Amino acid sequence: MSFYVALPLLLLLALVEAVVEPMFRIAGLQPNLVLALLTVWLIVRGQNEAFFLIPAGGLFLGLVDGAPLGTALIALAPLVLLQDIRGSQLTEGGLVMALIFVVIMTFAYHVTYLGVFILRGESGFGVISAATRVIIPTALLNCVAVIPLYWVVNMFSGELRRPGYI
Amino acid sequence: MTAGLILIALSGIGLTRPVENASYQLLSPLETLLRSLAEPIANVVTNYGDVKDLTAQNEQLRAENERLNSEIARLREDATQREQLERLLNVKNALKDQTFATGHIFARDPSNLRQVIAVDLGSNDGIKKGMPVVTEGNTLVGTVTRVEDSYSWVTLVTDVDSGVSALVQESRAQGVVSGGYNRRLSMEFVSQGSAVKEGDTVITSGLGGGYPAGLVIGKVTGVGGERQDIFRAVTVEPLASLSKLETVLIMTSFTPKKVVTP
Repeated sequence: MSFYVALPLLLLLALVEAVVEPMFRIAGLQPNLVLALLTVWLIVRGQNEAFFLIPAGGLFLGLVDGAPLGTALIALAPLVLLQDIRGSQLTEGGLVMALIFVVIMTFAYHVTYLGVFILRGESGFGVISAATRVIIPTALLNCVAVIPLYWVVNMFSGELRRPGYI
Repeated sequence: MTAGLILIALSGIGLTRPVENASYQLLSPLETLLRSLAEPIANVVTNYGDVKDLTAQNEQLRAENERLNSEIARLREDATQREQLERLLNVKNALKDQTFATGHIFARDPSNLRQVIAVDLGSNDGIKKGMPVVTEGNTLVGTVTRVEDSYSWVTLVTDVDSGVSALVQESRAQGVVSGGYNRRLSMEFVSQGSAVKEGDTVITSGLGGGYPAGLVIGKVTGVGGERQDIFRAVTVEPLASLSKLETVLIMTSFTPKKVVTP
């Protein structure tokens, strides 16, 4: 799967998040497909490509969401840190690692958003109620989204497969 | 990270508006295409089989019910107001002279933390920040919180950052209706002695100048709290089906007033 496929795919997923997913929300919540794809891409394709895709994904999400442009960019930035942690590992866990990363990233992503909202003087954003009512259920939804995305990206990235991947 | 911070700062002073407007122009055909492709699937999912007709009928009845409830509430409000105003001042009903712009919802904020919708009317159409947004049945939807050239973002009443001065129509108990992460409304600061019961209608009070008085918000679905509590815990169900909205009315003639403490 070409690296250049990822850019239009990220844009499409950002649009799907804004237009299509709200029609199919579960208990008012929806998975973050851009975050899920970036996590999977990082695990399967490695850090060189993800390094360019993370800001692109953040920009695309920023263009379709109601928060100030740049918020999604910052919210996805911790993925780069996870990338560094992953880089230091000698063996990767593939799908399991993607699931762990997406859970961590869902927390980091939402906490960053909450931080930006609070810094902008918007009130009412309780961190604990956000965690129980939004972040944990969204992390579960993102885990569900990671599984097919991992399968697709992994299938089209056969040439990069190394021992240790599921 | 730095780029993100710079973009947020630029967004705060409006310098990213051209980029956001251009992206809207570029992406809106794609969004329309995606919506037209997804809507039939969404309909199949929600209205499987012959239930589709029943759902349409139900939607019609719901809209009719919403309109009638709104009408009843407005008539009740008119009567109460008339009584009060006859005694005090001869002020016109705030809602009568309002003008509206019809907007179509084309996107929703993908973040699960916010309840924000994008409407295809912007500053080019005379939309300004702070304008109240209602349904066709005059039920409160939210407020315009961000305006671009050709579209705007509306924060729904169910958003966690939303707070509307409200009163219970039957008992005239006052409070503030706030949203929450559970997409439900709660009415806060309702005094313990207030006679509030399930089924009562909650309307905007007009206090604070953010909304005109008399707009229907919803129905009381629960009243709780212990005797020793200062305030009663009142839960409110929005009258409008906010997750299924397609068209909204923006109250273009209403200018929110900024109340400054004396």
